[in-house]
Amino acid sequence: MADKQMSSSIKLPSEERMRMSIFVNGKKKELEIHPAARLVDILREQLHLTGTKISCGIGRCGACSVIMNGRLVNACLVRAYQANEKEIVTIEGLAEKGLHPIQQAFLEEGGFQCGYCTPGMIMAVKAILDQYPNPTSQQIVDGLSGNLCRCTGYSGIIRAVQKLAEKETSRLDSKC
Amino acid sequence: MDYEEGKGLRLKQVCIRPDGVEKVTGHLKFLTDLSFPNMLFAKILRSEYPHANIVSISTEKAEELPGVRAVITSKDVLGLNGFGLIFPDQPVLCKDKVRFVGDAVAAVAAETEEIAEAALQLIEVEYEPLPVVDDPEQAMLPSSPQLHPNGNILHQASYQSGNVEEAFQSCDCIVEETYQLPRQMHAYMETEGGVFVPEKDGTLTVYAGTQHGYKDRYQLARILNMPEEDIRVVSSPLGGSFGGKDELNIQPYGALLALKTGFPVKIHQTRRESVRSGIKRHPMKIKMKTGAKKNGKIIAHQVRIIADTGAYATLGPAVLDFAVEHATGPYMIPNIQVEGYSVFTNNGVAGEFRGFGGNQVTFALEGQIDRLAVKLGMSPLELRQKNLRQAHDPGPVGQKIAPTDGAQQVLKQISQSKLLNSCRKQDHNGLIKTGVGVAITMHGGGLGYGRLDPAGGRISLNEEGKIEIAFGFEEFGQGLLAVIEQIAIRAIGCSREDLHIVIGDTYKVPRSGSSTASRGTSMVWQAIQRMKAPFQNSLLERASQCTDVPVSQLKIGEKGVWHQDELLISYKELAKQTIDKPLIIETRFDFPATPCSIPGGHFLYSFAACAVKVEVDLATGFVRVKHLEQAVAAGPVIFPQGYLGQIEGGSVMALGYTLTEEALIEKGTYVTENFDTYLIPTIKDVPLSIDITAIEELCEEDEYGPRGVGEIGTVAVAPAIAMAIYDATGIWVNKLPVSREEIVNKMMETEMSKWLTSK
Amino acid sequence: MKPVKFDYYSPKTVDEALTLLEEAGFDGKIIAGGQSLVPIMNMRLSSPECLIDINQLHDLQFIEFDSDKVKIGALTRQAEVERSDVVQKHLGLLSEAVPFIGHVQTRNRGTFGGSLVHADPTAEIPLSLMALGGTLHIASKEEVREVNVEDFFITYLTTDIMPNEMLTEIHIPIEQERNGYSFYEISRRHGDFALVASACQLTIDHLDRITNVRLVLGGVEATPLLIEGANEWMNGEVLSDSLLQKVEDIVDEMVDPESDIHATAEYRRHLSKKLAVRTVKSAYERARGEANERS
Repeated sequence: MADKQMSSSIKLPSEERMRMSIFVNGKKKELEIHPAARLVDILREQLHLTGTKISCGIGRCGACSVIMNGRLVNACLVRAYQANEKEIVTIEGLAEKGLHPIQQAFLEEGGFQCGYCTPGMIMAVKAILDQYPNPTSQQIVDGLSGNLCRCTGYSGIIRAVQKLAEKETSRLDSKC
Repeated sequence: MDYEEGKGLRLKQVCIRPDGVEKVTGHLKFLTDLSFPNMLFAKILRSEYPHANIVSISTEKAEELPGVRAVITSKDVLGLNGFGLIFPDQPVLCKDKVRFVGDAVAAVAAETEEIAEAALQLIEVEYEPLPVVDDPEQAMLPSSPQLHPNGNILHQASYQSGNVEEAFQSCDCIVEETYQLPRQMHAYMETEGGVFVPEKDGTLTVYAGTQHGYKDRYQLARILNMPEEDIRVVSSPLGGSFGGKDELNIQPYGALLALKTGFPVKIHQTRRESVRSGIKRHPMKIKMKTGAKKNGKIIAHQVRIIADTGAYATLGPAVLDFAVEHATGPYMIPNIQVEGYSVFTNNGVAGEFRGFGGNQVTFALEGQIDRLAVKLGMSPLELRQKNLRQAHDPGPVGQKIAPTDGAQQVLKQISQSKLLNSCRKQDHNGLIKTGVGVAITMHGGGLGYGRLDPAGGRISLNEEGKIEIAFGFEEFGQGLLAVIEQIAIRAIGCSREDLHIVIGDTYKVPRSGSSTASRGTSMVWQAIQRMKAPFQNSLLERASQCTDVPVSQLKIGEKGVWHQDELLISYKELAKQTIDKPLIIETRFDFPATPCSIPGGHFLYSFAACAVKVEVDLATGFVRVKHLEQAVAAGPVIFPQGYLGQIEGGSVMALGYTLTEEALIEKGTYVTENFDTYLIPTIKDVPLSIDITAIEELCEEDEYGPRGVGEIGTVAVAPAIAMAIYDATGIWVNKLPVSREEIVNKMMETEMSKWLTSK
Repeated sequence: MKPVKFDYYSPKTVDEALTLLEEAGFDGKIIAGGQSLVPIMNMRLSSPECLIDINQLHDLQFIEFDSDKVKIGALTRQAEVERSDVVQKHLGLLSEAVPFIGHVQTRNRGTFGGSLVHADPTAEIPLSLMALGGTLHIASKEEVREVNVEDFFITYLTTDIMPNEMLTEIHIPIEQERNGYSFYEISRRHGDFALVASACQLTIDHLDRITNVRLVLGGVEATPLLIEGANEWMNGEVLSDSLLQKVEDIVDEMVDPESDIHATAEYRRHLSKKLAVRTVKSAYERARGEANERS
């Protein structure tokens, strides 16, 4: 193929490593990565953030869901380099001081069992609540349809999100 | 108990699981999250064919690939080249024959996963393809290619009572139907994997999830030709199992490669590898003929079960025994004839799966009852009531069982469901129809008569002053740790902070048997009941010796031993003062089985009744479960959140079984390889609320305490949905998953015949 | 599973991207949102030698209202289309169709142009665009050419775009007065590939007679199927059972679906008839409803 002549400024042959920087949970990381790497690989293998899980590898289960520049993405379908200069929030970045309210609600309502889908599920819930602080049932199921859970049957997850929504409602009510 | 009358089981009191915080924060390290210095990565080469002779295997090119550290084939298996929970007929690495597409032929350890995978491509295996045996009924014929030395019938089981042929003569109404059940995949979110670490002292540490660490150790010792004591199996936590990880999966390859290379080896199967190699629920074809008198008394029941067990035995025989035992369920029928065959084919491998053969026969049995009810013009609930077992009736195969009124309790409870009497609404153009259905079930716990089913546990006061409770059970999501914690706190009288719970490590735990067959909760409760008095007495005696206060004035409480509302001596202090004579109480016993000599016959049963409401779109055949209720009778509830979660999650797993899930195999090869084609329910496919009622009362003389509820929630759902579809459309479903196309076709046939007759 | 190795380029401008495409020839493959390409690369079903990642081409991310049309940049994420007020107001059909695409995660990454270029005959955006009509702007080093959507899809996963070209933007005419639309699809679960999908866009006059209709079916042919000639027998008609019966009959004649593990050809044929009727009916009702609201 013609790669010998290809524009050198933007050329990245396969054996070379690419340099990239990424902000993960608020911290800047400079990384050397392989062009074939996926975001989930650099999170788990290079940064040892194993909270983000891998399950189907084709974007159908949501176990690797993280938030990239404010939007929920499947980290198995994002090429590592596409995260260059981006801000990533993973499950490890959620609990700053004590537990995040979503995590607390999951604990109280049985929003998890084996816990393997849970990090991705919680990130998806965060994405819902970031967009709709007081989501309807429809918004909840729309926002979570990409995250599979085999243990709970989703009942505990729905209860957890509804509890958060109720809290939001009473917070708003008390403000008025 | 946190139970609100009439509102189903509700979580009034917040009780946080011991493993909860680590799970919601993502800090919990699953065994596939582990990494070690100098760790290698392994990949397994699986068969290209569902059935073939291996002519030759050449690994030279793979070995020469830079970064490859070891390639193993059958000649590298140090001990027995076979595994299997009942008998070891599945080769670790196939030598001259492959029998399914998941059969392992070679494995590679390399410096990276990519290199290991590239090396697999360089292994040259020459096969001589053989005819594929993909139909169990064909496989039973003598003319079929034989997959194993003893032929294609792995196991045969039967039960007979009375004389069905004669009884059918006197029936007023007979229903005969064949039911077909699909190959369901466990679809645990964490695929099989772990790390295998050769230790400096020559021992091997296995970090890989399983439902029974000691059993893995036993099987691995045989394969590695190593003493069991030299293998340490760390086996919890798991990202789901549902029966699917009880059998060995990747462990032999990781272990052999670790020993061969001398370095830690990690394996984590991709979803596609998991689908291809993992066990599944047995597809079954069940023929039932059931006859009743006009008054609704069922007098004859004839059953023939053919189970497709795939290429190897694993728990195939036990699953069939279970299906045969449960073929009459909670009904008292005088004339019964049940026969079952578990048949080898080249269709993957079928084995243990939540429900264990009960799901399949219950779908058929409850289908028969509903069809009979319609034929007799009787309400399905009334027909069930007429034939239902009473508290002191024998078990389904005539065996002595622990008295239980569970069948009556759950039927009564579900009969009161508002759902069953709710209005039937149709959308304005009549294209969406609503229907309701009910089904009930009884389900045996433990492994049953004639099977080694030992249990046990240990309580000690450890050096740190914690009350250490150790069990050889595993945590795969079901909430075992919370169950242990709740039972221990209540039994011993200490607080949760005083406890240290140890599971999932053969170096640290006693033998408790497998975390399977709904036995965990039951065994933990019974073990702690046995140990609590000796432990409490011994603890108080020591406290008395240390403090000179008589035992009679001492009380076990939070943080330590109390005297007159004051903490007299802390557990920590007590441990320090008695360090040279540690306090350890152990127990060993067997899960109770029926005294009658029926292989696999059970003694303890739990019960469930399920009611559902569905909507059927007549134009598309789309079925949506709008509401689901279950009443469960399984003794006292220990950990409400876990109980609820097991029944809710089990309900949805069964909903998937009924409506969308099927691991399709064509000519021995999987065509559903991942979650884009194997369709487990998403949050959009489930009813938004599932109402669970727990019936906790046991018979007065029952001393066996709480039963496990891991399986019971999955059993009655499918037949309830099938009945609801009939209620909505007049169409009987006899094959799962429900075919939308069939609903559409049958609706059109009905419309057409209406149109013809009206002309 | 990780994909095999490949050369990776990340151009910063359209011009750079086009130069790379020119040089890579048939080995080059553009990656945008990657929601279709990356799964098949992860599964090793596709291993392009040279991947040209256009995610840096921020100039191709826009939704603009321009008198009688809406312009959408090819790299615009599906989620932006879903959330866009402009789309909501002027291209109701798209607003209705986009939420059917995959899941939140998919739409946050997947692009409007990517879905068109991927040309899956069951996909929501190709179907909707076919119903809405519009032109696709296709650039090469030499020129930017415009192609009508009717001429864009060639066959299964194949479009009119040449290896040295890329899709840059799409222009879509806005809805007229007394307009109605409907999108409906049947998949095995929400978010899965549609077994059959149907999109309808129509306008009616003050007597509720149809004045223009575009009915499109997906999953029944190798490309989105525009029911041609529908105007000839629907224009001037008000909705009636006999008209809907005719819709069913014509669809039955025109579709030629195939069987796969998810559905048989016969079931797809059945669904295409039922969905066509459903979308025509609900588009018509919507047109009347909106007309009434406005009056």
